[in-house]
Amino acid sequence: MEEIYQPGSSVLHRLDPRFKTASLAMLSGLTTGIGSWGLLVDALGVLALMGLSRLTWRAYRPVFMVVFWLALFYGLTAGWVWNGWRIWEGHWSNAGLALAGMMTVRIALIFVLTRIFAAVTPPLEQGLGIAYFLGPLSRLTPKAADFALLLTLTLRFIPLLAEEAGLLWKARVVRGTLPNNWLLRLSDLAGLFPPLLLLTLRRAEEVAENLMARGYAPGRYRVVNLHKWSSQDSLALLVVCLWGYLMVWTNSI
Amino acid sequence: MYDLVINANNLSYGQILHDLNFTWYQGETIALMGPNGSGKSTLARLIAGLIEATAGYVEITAKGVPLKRGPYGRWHAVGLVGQHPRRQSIGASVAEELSFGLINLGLPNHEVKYQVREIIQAIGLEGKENQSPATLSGGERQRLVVAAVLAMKPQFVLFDEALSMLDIRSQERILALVHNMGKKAAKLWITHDPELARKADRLWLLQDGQLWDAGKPENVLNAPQLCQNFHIQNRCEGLEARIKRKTHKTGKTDKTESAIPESPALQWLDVEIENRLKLNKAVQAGEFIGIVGASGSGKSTLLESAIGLIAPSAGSIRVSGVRLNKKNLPAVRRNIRILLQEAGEYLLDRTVRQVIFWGEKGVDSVSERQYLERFDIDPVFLARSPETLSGGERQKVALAATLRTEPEVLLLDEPMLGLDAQGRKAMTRVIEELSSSLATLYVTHDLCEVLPYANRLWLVDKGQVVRDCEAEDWDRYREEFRKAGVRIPV
Repeated sequence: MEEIYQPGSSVLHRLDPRFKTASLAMLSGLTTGIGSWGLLVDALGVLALMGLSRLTWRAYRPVFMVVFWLALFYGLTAGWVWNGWRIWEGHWSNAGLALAGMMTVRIALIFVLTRIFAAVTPPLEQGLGIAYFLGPLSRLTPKAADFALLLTLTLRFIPLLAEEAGLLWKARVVRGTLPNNWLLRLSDLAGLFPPLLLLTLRRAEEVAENLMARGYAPGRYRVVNLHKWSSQDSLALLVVCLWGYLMVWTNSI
Repeated sequence: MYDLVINANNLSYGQILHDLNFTWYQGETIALMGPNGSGKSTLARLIAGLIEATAGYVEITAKGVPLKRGPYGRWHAVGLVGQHPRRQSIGASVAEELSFGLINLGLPNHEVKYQVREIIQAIGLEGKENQSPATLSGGERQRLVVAAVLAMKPQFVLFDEALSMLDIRSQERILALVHNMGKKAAKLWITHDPELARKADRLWLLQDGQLWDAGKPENVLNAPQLCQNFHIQNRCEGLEARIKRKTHKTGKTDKTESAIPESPALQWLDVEIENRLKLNKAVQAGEFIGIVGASGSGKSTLLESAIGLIAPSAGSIRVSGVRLNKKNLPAVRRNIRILLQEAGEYLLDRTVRQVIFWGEKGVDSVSERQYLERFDIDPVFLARSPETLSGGERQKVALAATLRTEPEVLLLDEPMLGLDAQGRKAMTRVIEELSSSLATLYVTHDLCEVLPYANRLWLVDKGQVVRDCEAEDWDRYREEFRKAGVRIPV
């Protein structure tokens, strides 16, 4: 199975995570509201990003699969007009098909953009990027800061739990052979869940204690990112702004 | 004398601590020792304000006036560093780890960034600011956590076995960080290590829920009877006598590479495991190999490859002459057993009986008791859940379970981690009993642990055995071991 994040050293990998998060949000937002010319500009931009990311076609396979099924669904629901109660008695509508096509293109572009973002930004940086933009909201409500902390903690906790599960599995493997009978094997494996649950609770308690030990106070969390804003980031920002502007401008033609 | 003082008045916590009274002054270093399960960590958490006392109280006074507690009933004046590097980090990145506490202190962003950059430089993690702490080595990670706690400038810091998982080089670097705190800072070291305890101004002993302020550490550490009463053991206690006993029992070993018979108990033939291990070695039946080296040098990988937990990318591993492969792994694992690092943390069953006598039916209670006696495990524990035992007791249970199948090769990955003197003695007795009949590979940071039994020593560095010597000859390579971060006998 393909990993979501694909380590690499492309330009996109090196960009500031805050910039990547903001760009994804802006471009996705614009993609939902523009017309066919805007979508064309967007598609060209996405193609350029695909090239820059140096991801293989395999990395996009799950996206294409989902888009294919969505296209089928939209095509059938919006493109096929039935006359009576029987679904197979009807005809294709050109306007409906065009609408389905537009929706599919929009969804495909957003999905591919998100796929590229996830592939070139490590999960923890994604969390930090999102948490950074929740920062201003914490002036309105401390819950925003707590939510941002929750997000980064969750992202950190998942690999820790995976590591713990791996250690439990190791402990099980070195203890003795798994039964050959698949039912017994299943029940044997199910036996690992209670200790995993206990470990999870223990680790969660430890995290809570660590937060308290570092003087955690509700609503105070802020992301401190030492990622230095480079000239590459500035250039990328310019390009994305131009891209966004072109999408909106062509829409008005 | 400094201004701040921590006072405990009739402090109690459930059945663990009873009516403790003590005073801890700013600038004072205290060592806290006591058997496993005596409540040392509970006391630390009470002082740090992480848990509430069931009776009595702890207070900090500044010139006699009690300080107000901060959020969640804590004081910023108290910091706590725990044992496990892996389980203490909060931040998604190194920078975030260091900034978390500073932000909670209310410092402005530019000040936080400035301080974080300074600290990163001071602890030698430049260029790793935006990396996840998970990508750091154990030593680096513990240094990061200590720096993150110390960045909050606490006047009292509790170190709960904070050095026990580290090699000597990493320990020295942490001690240097602590030293930089200056004389004003008070430290409390929870430890089983008398060498560390000797450096304290006062020694506290905790046993059966009672705290005894023993005054100068030498008062206790130079008194063998008191040490015995409180389960304190000098690291290399009785080492010479134990080595002599071994030599008397086995004679000086004269096994060399050329004298290896056809089918060693365990053999790595030109094995390579990615970039983690490169090995071409053999272990004879009945031989005891002490494997030492710094954290992250590849010691655990070496053990795990022997039991097929990690497959080699090149070469082969042979057990009693049979090449290890997927098909024969289950059969081989009956003869090779491994005690994983922190095995006590990963006990899989509901009761201690199920853990030790896994898959066995009809074991009578007399046999059960006899078996438990060998490991100094109280039979009362049999019906209890492993969760209810202390860390040391769980480690003994794990060893008992590991040895139940009477293997031919035994792999031990830091079995003494976190054990008090009593636990160590029980473990030592079992290992001594077994060492002549089994091929044993024992991973540790401390030469004192293996010298009494080892025939040979392997020094591992960057995934390779860089020194393979007779155990008796260790002194000739003293400097090499020391430089590699191994604790050597003093």
